[in-house]
Amino acid sequence: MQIKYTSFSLQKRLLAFALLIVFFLSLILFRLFYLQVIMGKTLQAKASGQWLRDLPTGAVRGSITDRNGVVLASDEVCYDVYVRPNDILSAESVALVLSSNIEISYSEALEKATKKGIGEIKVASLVSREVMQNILKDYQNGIFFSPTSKRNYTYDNLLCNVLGFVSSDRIGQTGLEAYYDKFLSGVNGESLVEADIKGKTLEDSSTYYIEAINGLNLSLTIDFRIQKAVEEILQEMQYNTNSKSVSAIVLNTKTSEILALATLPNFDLNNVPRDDVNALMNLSRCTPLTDAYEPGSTFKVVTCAIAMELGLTGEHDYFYCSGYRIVNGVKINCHRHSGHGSQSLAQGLSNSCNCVFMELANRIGLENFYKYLDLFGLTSGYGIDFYGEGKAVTMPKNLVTAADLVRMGFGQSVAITPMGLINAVSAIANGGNLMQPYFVKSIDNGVSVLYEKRPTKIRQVISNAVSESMNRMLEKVVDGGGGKRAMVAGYRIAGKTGTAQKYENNAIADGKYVASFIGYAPADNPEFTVLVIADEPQGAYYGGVVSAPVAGQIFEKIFEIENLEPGQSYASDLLSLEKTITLPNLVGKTKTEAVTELILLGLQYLISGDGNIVLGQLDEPGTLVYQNDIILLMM
Amino acid sequence: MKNKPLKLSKPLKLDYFLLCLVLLLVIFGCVMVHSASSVSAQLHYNDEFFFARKQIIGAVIGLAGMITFSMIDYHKLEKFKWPIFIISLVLLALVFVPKIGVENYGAKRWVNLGLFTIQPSEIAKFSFILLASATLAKNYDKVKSIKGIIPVILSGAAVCLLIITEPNMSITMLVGFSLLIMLFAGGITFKHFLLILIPVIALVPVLIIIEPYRLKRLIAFLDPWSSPKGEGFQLVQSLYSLGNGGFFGVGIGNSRQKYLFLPFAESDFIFSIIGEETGFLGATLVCLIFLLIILRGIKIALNAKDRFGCLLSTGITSIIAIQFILNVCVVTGSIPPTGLPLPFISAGSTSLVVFMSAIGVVLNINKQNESRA
Repeated sequence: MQIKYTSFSLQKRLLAFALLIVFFLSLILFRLFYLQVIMGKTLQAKASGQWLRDLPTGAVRGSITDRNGVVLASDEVCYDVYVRPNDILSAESVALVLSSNIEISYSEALEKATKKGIGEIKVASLVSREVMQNILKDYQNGIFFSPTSKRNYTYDNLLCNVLGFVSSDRIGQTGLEAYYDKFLSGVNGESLVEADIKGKTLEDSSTYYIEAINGLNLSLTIDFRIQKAVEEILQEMQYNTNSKSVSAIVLNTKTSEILALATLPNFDLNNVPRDDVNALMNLSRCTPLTDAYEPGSTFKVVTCAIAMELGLTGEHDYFYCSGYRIVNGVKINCHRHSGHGSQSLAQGLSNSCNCVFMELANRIGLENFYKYLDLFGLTSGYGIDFYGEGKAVTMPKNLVTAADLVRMGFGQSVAITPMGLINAVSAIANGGNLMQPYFVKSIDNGVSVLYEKRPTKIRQVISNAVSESMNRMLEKVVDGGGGKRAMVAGYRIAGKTGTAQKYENNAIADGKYVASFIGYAPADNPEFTVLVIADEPQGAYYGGVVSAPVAGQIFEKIFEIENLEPGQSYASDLLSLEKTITLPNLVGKTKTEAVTELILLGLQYLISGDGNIVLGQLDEPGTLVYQNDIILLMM
Repeated sequence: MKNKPLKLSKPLKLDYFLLCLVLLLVIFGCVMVHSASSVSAQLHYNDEFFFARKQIIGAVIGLAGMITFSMIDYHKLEKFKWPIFIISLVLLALVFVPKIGVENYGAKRWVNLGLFTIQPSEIAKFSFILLASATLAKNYDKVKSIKGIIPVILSGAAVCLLIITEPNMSITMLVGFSLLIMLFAGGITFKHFLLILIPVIALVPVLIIIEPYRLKRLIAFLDPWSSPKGEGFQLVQSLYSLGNGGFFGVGIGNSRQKYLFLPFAESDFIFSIIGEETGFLGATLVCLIFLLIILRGIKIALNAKDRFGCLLSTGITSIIAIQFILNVCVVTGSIPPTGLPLPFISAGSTSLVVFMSAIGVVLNINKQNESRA
């Protein structure tokens, strides 16, 4: 069909054009209405995130003190130093003031002070208050300070493996700094400023502040005086024996509070050697807690206690040692090849006779032996408030031969952590109460104590009677037996030495020994358990020669610190053995859920933070706590 | 139809309504350019009035151009249609000459004429309209045949080809659309119309494949929130501006997005800042003023005393209409982003002077029409 080109047709076409425009415009207006009126608030909310620049205001990280309030780690207020080139009147004098007070060369300072096109530039980090005051004395326009914090460890190397260190962004990396990071770190505050896309603050902009919540403080079970003494003594021991490493633990025998824990070599927490990450990881490990080793003869204490608890032997039981024992055709030697002859159980301990303990292991049998490793908590660990607690390394039951079993009797073919050993021996010494070792005694916010850990009994492992005979027998080991070098004149110390051969690639490593001593005092009412271990000492390698005297020195220091008179045993608080409750996992639950659960269990609670979800709890799930204990919830 | 010379003896009436609408937009544009650009101008040129001053100078020159063209008989333009068209093509070609052509954001779109730089495509689009309306008016009885429309298509294609090589997809599309409208208004048959439309539509995917950045933009358009800091950044920022405006706006001068968040806030994305500062209300008002200008242009076309005047007014109006619609569609995320200034408002002197002069031509068409009545 032909279209006639009349002006009417043109009119129609132009009208169509106009209608098309009106149509598109209506669509645009709908779209605008949708974006501006319907979606307006949503878009505005999304956009507001980019309009505000947040400057974090750092929370002060909580301090860590020993049981008597001696500060071991704390935050020190420091300053970052900046220059604002545009505000500087004389760049030369600014450079002079800076270079004479902080570690920056005159030329570098001058370069920064004259830098163009920049608002401000940092010239130094973490400068102390004193240095800041010095700079302020010769104050020059254009220098300013921004307060910040630095982690300061009062005694450098002291307790480094336990305390741990923080990363440059102040997150706990190792040790208690890592384990209690959530409590120590606090919550950073913020100041929100209206800024442009480059972060430059707008003129007459408003600032909104969100207060920082400071971190909580930890009080440890550690006694600074004992810890310091132990580290000094170990230094000397390391120097004398040239060992690969030396370690010591001091526990409160009755409560398993960790009073001291040290291992050498160690490092300076204020100057963490971060260059070699692998080396640092090894150096910063708390090996007495994390690494299992073959305890050797010190383990005979445990074997003996098991056998007595099972009624398989007694203080006056007699054994004969011919210098070796043949088990399933394998000849296993006693350390004295000529043999100890006939001896009582007590003498066997005193002589550290392998034959006696081979016989005891044989009597106990594999099933019971493994059962007691579990009962002493060696295979499971104790739930210590520390990351990486180690467990016993045992052979699979079905692979254990009769020869392996008897070797376990004297502490070979089984590996346990030093912490496992000292805690098991403490249980044997204190009447059979296996306690949970711990580091943190209480947590406070600087005003009030929010949480207090009470000694937690895990279970009764042996009877009081067996404990008492063990104490009598082990006292004789120090009083004239193999542990006599641990003797402190006038004091009653019980203990046992150990000399273990090290195995490498399934064979005895020549000349490599672990020399140890475990002991506690006073023998009739033990308060302090001490374990000393020298790994690969050079020269003398017998536990009785290398480690017992060191333990003696430690005991002597402890007696001095605790004002313990010779021959005296001090009455300690009786453990309140109330009903214990296994703490459930509350992390991730809402406030109401968590609180309800705690109340139903008969526990009290304290809440830190103002969230609605539990982020952390003290104690950890599974901990045994007493009725009416206060559980701290971090929200 | 024979063109009659203008009789100067008769008093001529200007279309004050159209004039006022345009001046309203231009003045509002100067205010908004200053508001939208003050922060970035202060930062980059250490002078918050850098863009505003240029815009006011452009507006003054534009006003002079508008008055001049409203007094020049538009039939005289017809005589110069070829020289004007050829000069435009030469200017377009100059873009590719080193030192004269100015490259910015990866495209050669500007020509440096010593004293100032101009964007030849701004001129070319109108010179094409002039040539097309003259040709279509002259050949109106042959327009039914392919032969009659071939010259128009060829001249349009030449302009498009030069502009797409810059590359400048948006102005190419603009010229393409106005070509279609000119042909339609010129009286082309529907069969021919479809015959042209189909290959033009088919060309779009080809152009997208040639320049990979167009595909990225297309993807960013489909889901800007997937890359709010990358390709989708500009669109997301534009939507933030509009959203922040709400119904009543945050008030002129109070835009939050102009603090360097929204790129090209004073030029291609000025409508977002208008939406933010004056809200849905202000944005709607601006749209309605545009609608009135467009409808006025069509009315003037309908009342034009001859076919050339009618087509010329239609062509100029179509350029304003298409460019306005494309710009607002981009800003509201309704079509993939493409750089087109908002007529009369966006910062850019060439665009402003050319658009105001074009309105001058429309005013003259109306004047002659009224003088005839």
